[in-house]
Amino acid sequence: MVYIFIMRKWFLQLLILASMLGLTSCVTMVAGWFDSIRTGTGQTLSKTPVKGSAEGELRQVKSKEEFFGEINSDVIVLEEEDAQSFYTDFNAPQSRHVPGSKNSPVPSIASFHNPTRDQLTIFKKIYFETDKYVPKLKENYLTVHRIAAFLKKHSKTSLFIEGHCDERASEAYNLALGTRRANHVRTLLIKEGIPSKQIYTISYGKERPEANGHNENSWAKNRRVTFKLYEEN
Amino acid sequence: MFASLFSEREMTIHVASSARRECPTVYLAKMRPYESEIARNLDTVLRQGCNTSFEITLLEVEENKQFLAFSALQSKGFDATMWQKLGVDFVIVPVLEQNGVTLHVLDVYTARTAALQQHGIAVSRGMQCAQMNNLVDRLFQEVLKKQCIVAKKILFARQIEDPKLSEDKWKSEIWQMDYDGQNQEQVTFENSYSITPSLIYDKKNSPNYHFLYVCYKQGQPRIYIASKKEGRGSELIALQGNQLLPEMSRDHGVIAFISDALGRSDLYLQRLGPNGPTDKAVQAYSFPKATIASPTLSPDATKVAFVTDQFGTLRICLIDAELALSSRKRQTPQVLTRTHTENTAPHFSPDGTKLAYSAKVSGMRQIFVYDFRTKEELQVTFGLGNKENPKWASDNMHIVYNSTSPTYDIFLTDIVRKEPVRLTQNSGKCHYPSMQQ
Repeated sequence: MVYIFIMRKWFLQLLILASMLGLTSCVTMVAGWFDSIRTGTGQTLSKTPVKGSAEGELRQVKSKEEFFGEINSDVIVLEEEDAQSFYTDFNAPQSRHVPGSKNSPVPSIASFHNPTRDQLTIFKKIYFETDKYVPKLKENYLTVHRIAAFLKKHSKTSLFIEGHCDERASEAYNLALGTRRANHVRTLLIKEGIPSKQIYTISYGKERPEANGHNENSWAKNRRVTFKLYEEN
Repeated sequence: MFASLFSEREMTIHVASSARRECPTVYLAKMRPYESEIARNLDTVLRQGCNTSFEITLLEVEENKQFLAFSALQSKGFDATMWQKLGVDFVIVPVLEQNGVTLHVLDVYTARTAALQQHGIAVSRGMQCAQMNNLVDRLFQEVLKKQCIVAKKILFARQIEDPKLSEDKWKSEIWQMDYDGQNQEQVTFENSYSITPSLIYDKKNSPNYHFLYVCYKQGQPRIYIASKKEGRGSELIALQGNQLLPEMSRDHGVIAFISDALGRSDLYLQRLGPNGPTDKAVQAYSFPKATIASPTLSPDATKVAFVTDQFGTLRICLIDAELALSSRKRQTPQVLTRTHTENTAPHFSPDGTKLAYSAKVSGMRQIFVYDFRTKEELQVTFGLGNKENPKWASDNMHIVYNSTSPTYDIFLTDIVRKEPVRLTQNSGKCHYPSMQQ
């Protein structure tokens, strides 16, 4: 009986969530998830929104607010559902705290550091194909999973994700593309249960290349996201 | 001395009767005396400055016209009919004296004369150029009543890479220079990474101009506003996340920019009042899985053009800015450029009839102009090297842009002669130019 009751409750929650998102949203949402599956997001295979608890278990969320944190009220958002990023793309809105600003619990990036030698085995760079913001290789998703596990263990650690591009597209467009790359990785981490207020993004476009060559090898190295950490005392 | 003769304004002038042409023909005499190196340099700068305008026709120096110009002045007589037969509307005689340079201007049709003076000549070549450019600017504004860009400033971002410092210590500040690349001067002192300056329209062209730029000093790139005097800017928009590529409308009523506040790069519009932002930022355009970049507002702020990759390759699209501010319904954008691939970095001309942008042709990124009236796409730059970030000058004829290969340098070209002039060289990574309008 208890088992049936739990199952019924879970099913009702699912129904409520489905009605919140609407039929069209569900279709597009699944497409968004499919994108993750297709590209090898090992930890996001579920087609229903699930969120990891602090202990690393999965639980059902009841609302988009619970999933993404506080929904942004500082923006007048387009009414089309696909323009509201928490539907189609599952892009998570940025935290309302701007690091380094007044009243922000997170300091500016000057207080963040590159991963230490030990941390480098977890915070590996994630690489992208030309003009893409979704990483293709499975190892990139393993990196995301390891980072998520680290952040779950270190809940007072904040993360900056830096998005970079190669030199081939224009400078201005690359600034925008860098935000997409960094935000996609951020969203993957949020899907793994990391609170949105723990992760911030920066786009450098092609301003800071890692390799200065003008060949495919260098371009591949430059299409990346990198990480910086801050541990609250 | 010759100039003293000229200073007398009450000369006998035979005035011609026919009307002046829309594009007046100007004879700029060779500077007197011409023997010294400084005189030749000043003469070159003056001639170059006058030659930038497409609103006058500048005649070549000829000995007979040179003689006529000076002898007429010396004898206090000026045969306007004769000059009209030569097809000349204005005669300009520059004179170098111990206390400076004077431009003596004779209007063939109205008989008016004017003397524009530059007191003192600077020691440095750069300041001499600035002085002559100011004279040319006054000539165009006060006498010829035509547009000229020679006194306009260009802002740009300069990145200095110090190999002794780590990656994070790369610096980029906003700099200014004259239209000819002279007098380069650092404007921001953020000691951080500042890029994409965008000059705010000022009808008076105050020397203490204001501008927007993006600075990474807190980590995330944010939009700042500063004046030339300040050196450090104030954050303008409180919206969270990355704020990129800002441009303010000419009436200072709205800013268009790119932000990832909702988790992807969308186009935003922010209304402005006298004390800064009013109301919330508006998500003006977003499309699933698309990357939106490089917004530019039409001069009347009714339209906004931007780049999107939602059609496969990068295209420049147009939406109604007023509608975006008043309605939450997503508009279907009008695709403007179709001929070439990777169309990026659009910028509206001050008169709103054209759009400068960068597009790829034969593997190279070149500068193009889209004409709203004819819907034609005109290639403005050619040859090797990628070119990006075109920005219009106030005359709707010149475009300043930067190369990204083989070096990052700023160039000025025009859409008629299409002869680019390099403005920076061997001085770090110079890019994202913006010119006073």
